[in-house]
Amino acid sequence: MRLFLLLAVSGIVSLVGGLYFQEFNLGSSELRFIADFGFGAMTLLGSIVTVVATVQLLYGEIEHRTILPILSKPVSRGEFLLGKLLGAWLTICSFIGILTLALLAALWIRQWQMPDLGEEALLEQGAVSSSGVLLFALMQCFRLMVLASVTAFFSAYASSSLFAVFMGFFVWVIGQLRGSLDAQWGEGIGQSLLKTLTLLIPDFRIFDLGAYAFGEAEASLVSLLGLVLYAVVYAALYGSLAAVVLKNREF
Amino acid sequence: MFGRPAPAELYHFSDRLALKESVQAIELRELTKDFPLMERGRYLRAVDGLTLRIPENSVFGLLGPNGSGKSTTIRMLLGLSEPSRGEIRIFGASPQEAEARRRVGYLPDAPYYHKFLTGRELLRFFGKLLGMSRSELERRAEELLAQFGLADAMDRKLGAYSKGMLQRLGFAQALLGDPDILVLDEPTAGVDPVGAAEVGDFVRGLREQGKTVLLCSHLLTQVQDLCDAVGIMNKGRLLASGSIDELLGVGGDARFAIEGLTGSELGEVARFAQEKGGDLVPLGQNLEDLFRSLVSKDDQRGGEA
Repeated sequence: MRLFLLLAVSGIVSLVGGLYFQEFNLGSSELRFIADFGFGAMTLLGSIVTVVATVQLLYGEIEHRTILPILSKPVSRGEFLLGKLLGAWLTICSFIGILTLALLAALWIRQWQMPDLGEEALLEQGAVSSSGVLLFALMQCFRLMVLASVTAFFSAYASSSLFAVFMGFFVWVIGQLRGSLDAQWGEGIGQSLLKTLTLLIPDFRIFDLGAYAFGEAEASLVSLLGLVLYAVVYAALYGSLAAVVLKNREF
Repeated sequence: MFGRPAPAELYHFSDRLALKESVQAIELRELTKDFPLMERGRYLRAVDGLTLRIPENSVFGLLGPNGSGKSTTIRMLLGLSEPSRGEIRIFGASPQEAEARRRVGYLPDAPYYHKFLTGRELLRFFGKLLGMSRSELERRAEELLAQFGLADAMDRKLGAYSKGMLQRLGFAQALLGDPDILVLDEPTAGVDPVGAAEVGDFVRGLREQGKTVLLCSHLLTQVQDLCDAVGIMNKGRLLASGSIDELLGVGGDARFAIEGLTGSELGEVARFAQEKGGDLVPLGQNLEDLFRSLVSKDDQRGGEA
């Protein structure tokens, strides 16, 4: 209940903040500013909620030893982990859902407040498509599913919650930067080896599909399915690693 | 006085127990658990070659001072920890098998439950883990909560429960799946004398229902009254095991008192015993005396070594 209260408050703060801060935009359109603000909130707050919720759900059980009576029941460690990951993902999706609703409401209110503009004027104001917002939110759910699996892996291995939280955030930051780092790699065996090693860290930046909401790019079904597959493969990889670590962990 | 100990200096009566035509609910064979230390190649042996057989429909007390390896043994029995060597069987199956764990109910040494749940929600949660149907779960949960005097508190958050209430809830969750074996780790810890007596009555009731109980407790007087057999551990090793009567020498041949001798004559007897490789051990009147005697002797032996 407390978590959902926090989610609701975050959504409302984001909505009000978006409407308030658009007064400070530096020339970009108001609607686009609000959308950017909402996307930023989804990415930033979504990542924080993902890391904290996953550590709380998985490592919290180990730390408070509530895992002992659970695993003494006919439940395998893999089932336990899967349940925790699904729980974390449901929480994350709820959070993203609340922020998406808040963002769509903010955009709708602002459009309604604007003087009756023609279609051309609205385009100049930088129209934001609702379907683009929904697509961005959906892809954030998949991005955060991967982050939850990575955090679960560190939570299964960790001996303190601080370590798991730190590693979760570390991978998130590196994952956001990975795309930029790839462009910096030069030639040579060493560089190629390092480049291959970076494949272990998912590229989170590719899930940021804000451009589709602003009509700057066209979404193709193939590329979207490829993105979903990319997320599922990484989530499965880190989920499996977490399962192996948890299976061998002593309680 | 004890007779000459077996080569491993253990007092084993469990083999005699095993001769009885009974199904073994729990079998531990040469169970050993090592924990690696930070120092390379070194390890801490928490359980050392523990062999025990606990027949079905009996109450077995696993005793030992803190750090003697009881909790580690229990965790291996529940599949929470893997033995380094040896094996565990629950009605012939490994505890790593979910079906074997289904037959075991576990009361942890502290209430490791989610404080944000109510008593009823906690039982629903564990019932789902046990794969119980909704109707069966609701019926069983209400029945158990009422049995343990928690009917009025079943919709209250666990954070508002007293220690005694949490302990009773722990019994309810352990019994939820109607297990054949109950593992009770310190069931009287933090419970008042009235509560401790109720725990005793409850364990007797379990035996009458045909359950097998593995009980870890520091209330040795209660253990002596409740248990059919006990095992005494220290530093991971089993010092003695067997029925209470056998261990205390009632009807046995291992212990006797010496009366009517002077101090110097007693000294001669002691020297004679030592010459023959034995020792004079004070005769224990009860389990507590026996426990203290065995553990202190083992500690001395360890210190000399």
